[in-house]
Amino acid sequence: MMGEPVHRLPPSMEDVDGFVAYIQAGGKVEAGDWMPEEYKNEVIKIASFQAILEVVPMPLFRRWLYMAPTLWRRRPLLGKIQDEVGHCHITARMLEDLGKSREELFSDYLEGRIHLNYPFKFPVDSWGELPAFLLLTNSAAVVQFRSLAHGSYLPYCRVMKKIMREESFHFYHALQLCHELVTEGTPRQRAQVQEGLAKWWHIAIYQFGPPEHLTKGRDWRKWRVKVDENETLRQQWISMLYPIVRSLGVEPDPNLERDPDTGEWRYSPLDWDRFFHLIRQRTPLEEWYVEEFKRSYENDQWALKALKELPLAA
Amino acid sequence: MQEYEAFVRFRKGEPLQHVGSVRAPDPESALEAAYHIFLRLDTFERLWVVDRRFIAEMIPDAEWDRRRIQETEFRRPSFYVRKLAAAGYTPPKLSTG
Repeated sequence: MMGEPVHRLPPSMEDVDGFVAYIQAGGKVEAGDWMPEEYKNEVIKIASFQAILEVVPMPLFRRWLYMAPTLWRRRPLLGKIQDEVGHCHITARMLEDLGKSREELFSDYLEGRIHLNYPFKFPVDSWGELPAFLLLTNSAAVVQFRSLAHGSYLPYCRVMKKIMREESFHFYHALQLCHELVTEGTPRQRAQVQEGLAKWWHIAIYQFGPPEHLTKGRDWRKWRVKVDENETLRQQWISMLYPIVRSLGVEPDPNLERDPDTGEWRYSPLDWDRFFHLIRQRTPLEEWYVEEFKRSYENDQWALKALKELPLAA
Repeated sequence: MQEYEAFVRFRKGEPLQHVGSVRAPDPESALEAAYHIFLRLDTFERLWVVDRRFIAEMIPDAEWDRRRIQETEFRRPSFYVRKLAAAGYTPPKLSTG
């Protein structure tokens, strides 16, 4: 235990400049520490986006649950649904401590103040396409989460660490299912996986969002809740996933090549205009998510009501 | 007098650690007692005391452990890594650090 940390606690009340200096020097914030409103809103914004993404697309997996060809394959899907809902739960709990209720979180989505991340707006059409979709989107999530785990708000870093352990199961399950269908499946299944990988490569690559210079507004570098640029994460994801996708017999992007000097991947141009256009819209799949979400929310009101009416112990 | 369990986070970002318990008439006195008993030497980031009556606990036995490991095998990455290896495919390590 050598040396005293330079900044042990964030500066106290109303010293926003001191707080920013503390964060910029690598300082971390614990639950209950004083924080400026703008910082709190940054955490809320990032965590709300993720919490919604954990729960809203679940009807998609529920549908595949019933179409899984064996109980052996149904079980990990069920495990995944349980995990994702759990991820929403722990993130929502953290948000409640920051003053944002679950009702607000859900109404933010239903009323269009939070948008679903791009890849989750598109459907999965076959059993073989499902693991391709899972492999590419799960790995993208892992890349994002492991970066967020180094952010400045410690309760959120803990959420990320807990989540990543389970995402690792989802990732290897998806990879193993892809591999099995490619090597032992029927020619049709093999084609479904490989076409799925090629299709979802070009969708999942948008999961990291646009380069920051295309979006104006919030100064994310100031607060270090998010620490890496979107493009940095996209590059990490390509480095990780490209060899895997190739090993499954797919060359996803004819223009993909690594710059020999910088090590940066170059890829087919991304259509950010289309991205910005679509991200604010609801696709037919998303309309279905919203319907399902509202329906469960209304169906479950009796349980919420009963919980609220329970007398508190002691 | 009431028993309070004491928990300390020694350094920022570390988990809270149970350090012991104290007997005190109220939470403020319990904090004071825990501070003087457990933290005479160390610097720390956060000290908690919790009235023991508000702690619910669960104690798994060996049989429970065994079944837990068996029943959750399919939720472990190693389960799929082994299957892939058996099929002659060496999967990459998924770095989460």
